[in-house]
Amino acid sequence: MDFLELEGITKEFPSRSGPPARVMERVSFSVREGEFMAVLGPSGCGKSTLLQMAAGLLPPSSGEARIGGRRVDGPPPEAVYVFQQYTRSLLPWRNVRDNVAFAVEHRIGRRRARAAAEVQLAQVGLAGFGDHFPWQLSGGMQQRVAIARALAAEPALLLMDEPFSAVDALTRLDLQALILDIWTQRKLTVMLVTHDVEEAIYLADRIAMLTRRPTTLAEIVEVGLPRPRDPIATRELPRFLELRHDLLGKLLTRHAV
Amino acid sequence: MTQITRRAGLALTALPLAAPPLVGQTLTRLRVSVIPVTDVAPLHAAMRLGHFAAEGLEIDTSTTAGGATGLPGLVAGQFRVVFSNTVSILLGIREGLDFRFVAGAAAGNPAPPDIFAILTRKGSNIRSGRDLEGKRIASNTRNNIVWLRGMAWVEKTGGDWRKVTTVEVPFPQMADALAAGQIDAGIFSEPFASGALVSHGERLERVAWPIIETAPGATVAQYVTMKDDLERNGEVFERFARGLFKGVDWVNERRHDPALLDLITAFSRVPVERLRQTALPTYPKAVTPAEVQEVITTMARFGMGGRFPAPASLIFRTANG
Amino acid sequence: MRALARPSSGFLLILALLLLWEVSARFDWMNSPNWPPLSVVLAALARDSLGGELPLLLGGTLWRMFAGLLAGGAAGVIVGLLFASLPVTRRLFGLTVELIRPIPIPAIIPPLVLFLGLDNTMKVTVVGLTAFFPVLTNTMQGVRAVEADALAMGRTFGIGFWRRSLHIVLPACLPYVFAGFRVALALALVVTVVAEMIAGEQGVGHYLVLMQFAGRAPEMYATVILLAVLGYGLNRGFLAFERRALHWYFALGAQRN
Repeated sequence: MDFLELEGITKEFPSRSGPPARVMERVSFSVREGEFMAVLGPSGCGKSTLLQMAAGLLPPSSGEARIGGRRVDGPPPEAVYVFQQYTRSLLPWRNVRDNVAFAVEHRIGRRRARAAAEVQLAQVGLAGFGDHFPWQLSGGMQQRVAIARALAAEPALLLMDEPFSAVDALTRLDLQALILDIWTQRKLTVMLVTHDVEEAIYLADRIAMLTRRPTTLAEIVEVGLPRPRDPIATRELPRFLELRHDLLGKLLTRHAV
Repeated sequence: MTQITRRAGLALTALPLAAPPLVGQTLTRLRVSVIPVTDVAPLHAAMRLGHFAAEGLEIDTSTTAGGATGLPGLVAGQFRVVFSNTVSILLGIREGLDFRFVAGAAAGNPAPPDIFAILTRKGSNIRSGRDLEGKRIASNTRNNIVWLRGMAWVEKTGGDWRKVTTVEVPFPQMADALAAGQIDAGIFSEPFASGALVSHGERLERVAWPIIETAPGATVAQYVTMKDDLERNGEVFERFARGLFKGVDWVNERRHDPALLDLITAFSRVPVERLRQTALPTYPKAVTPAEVQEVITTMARFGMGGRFPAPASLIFRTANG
Repeated sequence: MRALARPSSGFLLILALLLLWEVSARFDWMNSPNWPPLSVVLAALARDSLGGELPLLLGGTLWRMFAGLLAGGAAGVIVGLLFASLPVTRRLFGLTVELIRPIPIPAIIPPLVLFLGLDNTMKVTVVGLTAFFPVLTNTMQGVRAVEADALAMGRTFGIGFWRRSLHIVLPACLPYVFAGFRVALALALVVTVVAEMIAGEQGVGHYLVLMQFAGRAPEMYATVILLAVLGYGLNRGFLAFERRALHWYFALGAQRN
């Protein structure tokens, strides 16, 4: 069953001189309930814009996004957006526990939110770090805090905007494993935006390929790799290599044009 | 904070304690704007001796050194009574403000020492208004009684007041400015005139008593209030004048008495040793139409003419002597 | 305090200037009784301080200064937040504010007496007006510097406008608000004393003028010294308070450098 539906999404931004600039042209596809969907495209193609429209943070100029069959019109309670730049979305004046609690304290009160925060921190491997401030932690740990905060809101849909692009390669592997674990355990639906072909193949069930601006949907690729996936073995499977060759080629062509 | 200043002042003085105020009567509070000069000694004496309390009045003085907020504050209802110099009062009246004289305050003395003096640098050979033409003379403010009496002297001694440049210098800085040559003469009032001669005596000298030389014993300052307030509460101001006049009597009986100097020290903070060398003004009770007319006439000669009501109509019955 | 203990060149310069003061007055280089030796001034300072007069006056001055600073500063923060987050308020009131801003506040004290009297109401208002503008300007700058991601983070968790303002925008602006208050503090002391000098019978300012008119130069300079030390102390105290309140901001700054 489709959980997130994007239908004819078009986005224009007003330009200072002349007609508005159209950055996205009728993008339509759906993410099934419990599915892991990656969105892949050349940099600057508006992947993040699309994700923000799905999250209700930005209205489309025409077309609509639906979550659970309901039209998105402002941030829906089922979905949480995870930002690329954790340094900007974490609040430096709050310690780690209170950053996580921030996601829910307006709903359940500060005391219960803090208790919930401890549980989520343990889940992402940060038990005992509650009293630290974000800026006292490494980049990878800060992104774990951001993930814990997203999980605290108990979303059904996670919208992730290049969440691992700002950390080093090894940390990225760790975080990818972490997100797959969480996705499996919690039966979440995930849409993850990335420009990293291997990351998309390794994590996703399907990959939506976008074109350059004005962005349209090029194709949807079935990954078809077995689960559970292994950070080393999966990446050596012939299907993985084939997909990597194929997608990277297309990406490069589109990038060059 | 006003209380504290005054209490500190009280501690400095050795006056006999005030007569007990009327018991069981609520006092009418009257806010009076004053300047910390010897001219307001009778008001402070009457306060200290309980003469206002005996009239059912509580006087709350507001001392403003520059006096810039006095008359505007009266118009705005911040004060019920304001001590001010005659020229500033009359300029307000000329502009249509309904000030009325409720009591006299200070006037020049018929013979030296007087309360205004013109000082120059020794050796500058400035002896007259004529010598001052093209030179700079300091007044604490332009267009007030100090300036007017100074200009009258310039004219009387053969100078053209239009050819003398007036510079505004506050009294406390006037002696330094004169000694340093930034000005060529200064119109000083007491206690700054005598103070300058003590502190800068080897460099400065007095060349004139401007009031004595132009209009001996002429008026300098009065207490005024608003006409509306007088019409509604005339009786309050009669009580004010009665209390004040007892203070005038007390001061006039003690013109060289240490008790008077102690009183002045307490509110002005001028050290007693300086006050001993200071000339005190004449303290009149009344305001006469003739003295007001004299100021109006003199003002007209120095660019401050205009239409004024008849002087007699500006004087409330308390000031009729 | 450590800086004071270290015989740095700055401290030595002050000592040299004070020595020059004493010597120039002792030998009457200025040729004026209005330039008393430092030792005489310090004796006057000690006398009036121990006598209790100056401390009481100073207490009143400080009370008025802080009342005005807090009232004007709080108004600056609130108006700044409103102007920056609701453009319509800026269109309505922005011009009025811009027209009042360049007025030199001490110049309007005499007319203000007409409306507000001579005492605390007028003085606190004058100080409040003085404190308002630097805090307003800085707050608005602070709002513009709030991370867009931090705001979007609040929205994705379904946090409403007011709570976002209070828990994201306000803390993020605080470093700017503090900078505004630091400027306002220095101005507030000056303006409080000037207001006291011009009108009424209150505080250190009135004492200063009274002593000037009474020809008591030592007392006058004693007050000036007291004000200089007070201004320095207030600024140091404020910096210490700022470091505590914004520990996260200073830690971030240290990290970036």
